[in-house]
Amino acid sequence: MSETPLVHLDNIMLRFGEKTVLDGINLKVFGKDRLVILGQSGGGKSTMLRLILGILKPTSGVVRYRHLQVQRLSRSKLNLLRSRIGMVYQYSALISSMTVRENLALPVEELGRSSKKEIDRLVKQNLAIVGMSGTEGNMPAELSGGMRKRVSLARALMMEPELILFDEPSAGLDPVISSVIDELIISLTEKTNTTSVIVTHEMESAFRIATRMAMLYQGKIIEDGTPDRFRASDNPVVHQFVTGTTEGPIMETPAHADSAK
Amino acid sequence: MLFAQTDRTGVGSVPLVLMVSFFLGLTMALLTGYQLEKFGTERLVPTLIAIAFTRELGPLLTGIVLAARIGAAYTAELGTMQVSEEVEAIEAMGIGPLRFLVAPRLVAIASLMPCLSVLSCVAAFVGSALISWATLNLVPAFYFDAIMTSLIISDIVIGLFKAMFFGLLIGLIACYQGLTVTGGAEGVGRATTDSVVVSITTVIGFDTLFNIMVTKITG
Repeated sequence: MSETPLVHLDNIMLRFGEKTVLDGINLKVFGKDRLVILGQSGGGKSTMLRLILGILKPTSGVVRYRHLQVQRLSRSKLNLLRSRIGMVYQYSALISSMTVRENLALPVEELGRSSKKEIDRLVKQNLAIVGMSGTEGNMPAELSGGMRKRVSLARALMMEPELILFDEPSAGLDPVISSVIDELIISLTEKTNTTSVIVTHEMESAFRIATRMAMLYQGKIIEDGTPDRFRASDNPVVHQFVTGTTEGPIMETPAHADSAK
Repeated sequence: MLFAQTDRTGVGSVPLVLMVSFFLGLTMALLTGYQLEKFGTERLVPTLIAIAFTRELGPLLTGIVLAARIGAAYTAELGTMQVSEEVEAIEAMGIGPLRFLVAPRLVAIASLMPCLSVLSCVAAFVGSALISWATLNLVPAFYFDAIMTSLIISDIVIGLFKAMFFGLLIGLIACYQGLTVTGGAEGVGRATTDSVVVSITTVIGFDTLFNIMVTKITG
């Protein structure tokens, strides 16, 4: 692939004190990819999303967004970049003191120059896309987990991002709602030609969504390829993760993982 | 956002500030009146109350009330937003949390503290005037006239400046405690307690420091 990647994590090392979370990560995200990052809980998958957003800075290595070095951007340029990236959090992270309408309008009101009428139109349009029309006046606490996640996705769409990051989109949801969210991610990215990076450890969801997959294990990307390549992988870690068996090299606790390093 | 914060910080705090100040003014006049009466100088009560509240107790009392009522609320709100990733979500949208979350709160509390301090003084004057009328036979007309003649412009300016400064301190401490919360619900509780304790201690500490400085400067 010779095209310029949208995001390039170039030899990223991240340490929190003594603990090495990411250990020389190399990962490219290309336009229109639906890249699913797999890995154990607490293995650093969500951390990778925060590096892309510039919320965390790597200990060494470079995070590139197109030709920009994310960690070198000034505050104003970083905010401008962030406005082009949508983020859907594991627990939705809707502002609990604001209504659904206010949550969706927030980024446009704060960063855009749109009129109230235009914002209302955008709110209605994006709520309709995620199947949440008519909930403008609701508070987040009045919505179920799946509904909050859909509203969170609608909020991420408000600034018409070119990249959407999903942190555990189906965590804590029942299988039906989980499938609804997965289908929504697929249809949205196809309709709007958006690139997406999805962090998950739920295999069914991962294979449904992904056009490409990467597996993070002990701070390194140990496999990167198509879903078919993952299914047929002879890497024992990938095989154990995909099949979900207890027998294999994956250690259960971070302490084990650390000592294995 | 600013209007909502101003409404809650200012208008919402008026009844509590009025009530606490009214009773404190009343108690002060009662206690000082009894002592001064022994020397036949009870006519000094309005002067004492006027200077004490305008320069000192009005801003201090309002500061303590707001540290407990608004500072705690700021910390709990921002702390809860922090642990539920709402602050990070705001940052991830490209909106500066300092501008969006902290600035309106600081502006609200710093600009409304002087107003509330003035109300605190007025409530204390009314409370002390009533008790002085009832126990010391000082008629309200004389009482308020004595207050007006005893106050000089610098007393009022110093009181207002202190109030604004205390508001800024309380807001900064409360927001800092809220945005640095770690450890879930327990962390929010701990930060809220810390916010109130640190705010009240800091306000009293700075008040003392300020009084020493002003006394040294003005002789």
